[in-house]
Amino acid sequence: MIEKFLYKCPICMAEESIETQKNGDISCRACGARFAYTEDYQLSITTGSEKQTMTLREAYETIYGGQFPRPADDAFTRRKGEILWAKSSRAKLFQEQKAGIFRGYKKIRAQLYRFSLIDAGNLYLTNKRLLFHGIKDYEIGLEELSSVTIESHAIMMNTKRGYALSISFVRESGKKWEDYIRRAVQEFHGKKKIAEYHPRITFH
Amino acid sequence: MFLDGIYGIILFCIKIGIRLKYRIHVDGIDNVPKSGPAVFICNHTSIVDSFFIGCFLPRKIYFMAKSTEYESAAVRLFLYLSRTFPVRRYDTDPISLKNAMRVLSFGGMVGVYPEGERTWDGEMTPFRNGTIRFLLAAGVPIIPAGISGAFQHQPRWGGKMGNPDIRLSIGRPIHSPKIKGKDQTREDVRSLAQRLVSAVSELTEGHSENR
Repeated sequence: MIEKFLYKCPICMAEESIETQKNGDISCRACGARFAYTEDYQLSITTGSEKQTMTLREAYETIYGGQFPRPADDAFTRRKGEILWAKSSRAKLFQEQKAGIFRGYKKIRAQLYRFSLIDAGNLYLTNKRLLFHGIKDYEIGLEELSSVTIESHAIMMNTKRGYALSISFVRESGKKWEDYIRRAVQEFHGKKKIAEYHPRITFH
Repeated sequence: MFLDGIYGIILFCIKIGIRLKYRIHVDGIDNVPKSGPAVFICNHTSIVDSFFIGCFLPRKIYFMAKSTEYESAAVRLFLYLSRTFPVRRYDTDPISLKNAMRVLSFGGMVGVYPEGERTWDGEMTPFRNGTIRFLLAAGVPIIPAGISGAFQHQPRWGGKMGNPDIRLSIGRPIHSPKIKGKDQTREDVRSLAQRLVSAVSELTEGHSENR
């Protein structure tokens, strides 16, 4: 559903407020804006008596960026100079493991991997690290990330530790978290502008 | 041979299903060389793109597919039969490049989505530098193609935006010089990327002179 992509309302900027009903109606819980697709596949947005049309790219560019939510979570122990930027609702953490060899046509061979569930809990994003707080704590410094991407709606992150991690969110948009983590990594690296976030973070 | 027969039947059924479900038009099929090494590149708009390409191209195509698709045994068998091979999207993957080169070395055609993922908004995203570097290193004809209309049927985020006709347009082969990895310059990468983006965009928008 479109809320997996438009994780903020492009009118009121409220997060995770767009919802698609079973009958296909799309609206924002926060401001009441109603969304539909036009004949040329743009997004038509009605707020009260006002109606406007924008492309999906324009809608996404409207919601991208801005301030991190900065949740007030006193239970999270901050380190010196650390700012809590975002906290997820329930999420699942998976770790990549080797899973045999793929044997294809014409002697094609490749290592196979699978992602095994290792914990469930909440993801915290700060200006220094990612912390997955479940039964155990799993911490990844932003400097340790070598790639950040999304497959289906799960975040895929490779680390300089030699294995990749994946996080799937039960209710939230994975795209939102991909954007959050990428922005955090960019801010961490400061003036070095990132050219690609996958398959490997590279700089201009 | 037995498995190929089964796959042929599966493909035939998928083709009938596609014809029943979608209004699909395919242009420029003659631009696909009948034999010899080549790389087929296309914009990636929806989960069904590979089915369209696999069903309507006149020769077998060895697609790079994301490694996480291979977790289920049933899907893995289907991917094996459809001649895909895995690539890890979240890491540089020299083995997948080696496999792609192996396919080219026996005269096969490799399929790649140079954007590296499906579009979120229906518009094309920048091509990955690694893909361009692979194409330069391979130095074989590049067959550009553009798909339009599929995104609206099945956008990445689910649901449906409409029911337009789907068009797969295949362009004339693009020839790029063969340049070994260590000799490739940023300008080589930028220049080929620009040519390919332009070719695929024109084919997607349906006003290519290159068909």
